[in-house]
Amino acid sequence: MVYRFGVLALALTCVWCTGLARAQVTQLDPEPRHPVEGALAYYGVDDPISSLDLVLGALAARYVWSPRYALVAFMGAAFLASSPQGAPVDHAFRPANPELMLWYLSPLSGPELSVRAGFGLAAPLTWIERGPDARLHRTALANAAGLDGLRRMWRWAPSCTSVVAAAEIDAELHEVLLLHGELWSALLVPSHHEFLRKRIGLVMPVQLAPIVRVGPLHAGPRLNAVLMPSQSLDAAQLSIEPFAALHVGRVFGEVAVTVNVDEPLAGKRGAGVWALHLRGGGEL
Amino acid sequence: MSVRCPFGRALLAAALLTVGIGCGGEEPLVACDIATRSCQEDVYYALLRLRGDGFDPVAQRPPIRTITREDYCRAQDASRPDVEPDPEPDEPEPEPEDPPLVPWDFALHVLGLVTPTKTTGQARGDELCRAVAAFYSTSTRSVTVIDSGPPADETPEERAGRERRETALLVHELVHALQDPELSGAQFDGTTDSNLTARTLTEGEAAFYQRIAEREMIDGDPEGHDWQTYYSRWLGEGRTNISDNRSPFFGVQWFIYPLGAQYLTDAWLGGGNAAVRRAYAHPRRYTQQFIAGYGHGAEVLDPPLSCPVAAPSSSYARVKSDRFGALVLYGFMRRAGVPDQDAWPLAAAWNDDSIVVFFDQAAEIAVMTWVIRFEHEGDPARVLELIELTDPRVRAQARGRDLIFSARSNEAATRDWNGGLDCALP
Repeated sequence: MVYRFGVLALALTCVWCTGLARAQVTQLDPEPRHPVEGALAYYGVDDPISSLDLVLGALAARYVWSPRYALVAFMGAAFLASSPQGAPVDHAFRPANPELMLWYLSPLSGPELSVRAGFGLAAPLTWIERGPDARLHRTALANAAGLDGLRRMWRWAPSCTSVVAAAEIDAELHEVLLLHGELWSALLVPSHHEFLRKRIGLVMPVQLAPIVRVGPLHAGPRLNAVLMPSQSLDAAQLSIEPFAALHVGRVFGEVAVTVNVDEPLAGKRGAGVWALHLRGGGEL
Repeated sequence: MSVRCPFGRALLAAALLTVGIGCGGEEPLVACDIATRSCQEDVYYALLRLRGDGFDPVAQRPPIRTITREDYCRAQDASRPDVEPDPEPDEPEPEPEDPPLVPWDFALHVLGLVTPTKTTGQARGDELCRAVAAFYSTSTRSVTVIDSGPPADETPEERAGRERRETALLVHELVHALQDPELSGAQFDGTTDSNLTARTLTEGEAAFYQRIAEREMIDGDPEGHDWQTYYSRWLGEGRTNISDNRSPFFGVQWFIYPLGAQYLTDAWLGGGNAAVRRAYAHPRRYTQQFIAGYGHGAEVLDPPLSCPVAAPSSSYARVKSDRFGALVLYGFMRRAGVPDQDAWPLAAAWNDDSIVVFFDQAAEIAVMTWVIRFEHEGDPARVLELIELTDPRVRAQARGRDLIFSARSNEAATRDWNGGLDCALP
């Protein structure tokens, strides 16, 4: 059952990834192309008497409006299978909060440098439905947020509208060495029944990624720090995401592993959340 | 090639290293002073690990405060406007002077389910004041721990034991904090039985993780513990004491802890946290299911009681109806003198029940009928044989699988009323 579930998620993602091409969608290219990127992430916990499997499917697409402006949209879904030994599997499906951002490419940008800023909103589509399935919903969403080290946790925040701002830079330091840096921030505004019951949250993910480029192969570690000043338990999450990507023509494929390094997701007291990612994309 | 191979090896090494770094800690919970922030964080992390649902970055660890038992009991009294705070709890309770007839209280008093000298609200408040050790408030989303204070001559061993119990108690309350956004109340259909059933699951889960945490603090091996003996003793203690409880209607609430915790411990031992999640996804509906255990006992609500009991006359209004369920039935039988070895299996043979209270406001007369359906034909007669009804206003009759109790506050004015006998199975 779990495998059928995974295959279904994989098939959906493949459908989403139709027409793969070269660039990742947040990396604005002056060329007026419209990239699409699909991603699949997996996390599992196995012990002798039970298992937990979580598959995330995500789709991002960019519509290039002009050489300076582009709209980027994100949508995703989480599929959870909770399997006790000797009993049927319980499933949960949760959509992500869809996100729409407007990106601006700075005039500082050139062939070896891309500087851009974005602003947008994530709508409160996902929620935990109180009742028998609530624990499954919570398990799906809580773990989904951790699969990228909480970098885009607002996309999986139940009953939350988020206001998102971002700045990113890509630089070609050498023929074989690229550098990616980003600073995002999101205000999480409780919505629906949580409005006025919860505090507004603030999240600021930072990423630095030195990338080695050898022919069509791009590889390196993405170093992430997510600052959460409004989180009462732990205000920072560190993670590393080693990745290897193959760029062929206008298509790319990537495999990556997210490893959370410290609490709250790992470390001495954390659950040790990790994730395997498969990504692919391209230009239409 | 000379470039790619070292790079590939380096990437692999980096990946292995980071996987090693990222493995989750299995740091066992250690008893600590729950008034400190670091202890509260340790306990919260431990609970997230034990429950296995992951870290929810949007949720906040709830604020935790400690108050004295005196303050808590005072707050309980203050929340009941009909009751003056009692400065001398050991003084005999004064008899109320010519109290107005409250129909629901009449029904509970006449059945011996609540102490007759107290209102239902008083009995509940006294039970809370005596028994509650900590609580989670859904309105403030905070945890309050009631500190009874350390004994004056506490030894280091006693102190270690107290800290362990308090740490585990904090686990219990934090489970309720995690449950808060998950519960819908959909299981609660307004009846006492559905309320107790829903709470058996939620309190049972809290009590279950509390005990798992406690075992982890003691020997780090919750799986290896003899839980069957543990729960048998715990439940046995309550089954012994319930006959002395003056308000078994509230006293049976004690059972939701061991019954629920035992149910979830069995699930957890068989299927881990996934099985505990499953217990929520497919919840039990009646307290009888917890008493009867797995695959035993009656097929509940087969057939359900659906007969509308007729009022004595048109001047009576139906003021309350309820399903008490197997747990209250058990408390009733124990209070009425039925030995535990008979009362427990008879409660497990519960099929359904219905209590209806009518009230004539002008004449101030209350009547009530409680019909209980059992699994076997012989069960009602067996109950009648064993119980000792102390209130002469109560009449009891067995009919087929049904046992009918009826009572009226004024015998003469309701002589023609058949007490709801028409509702029973032929």
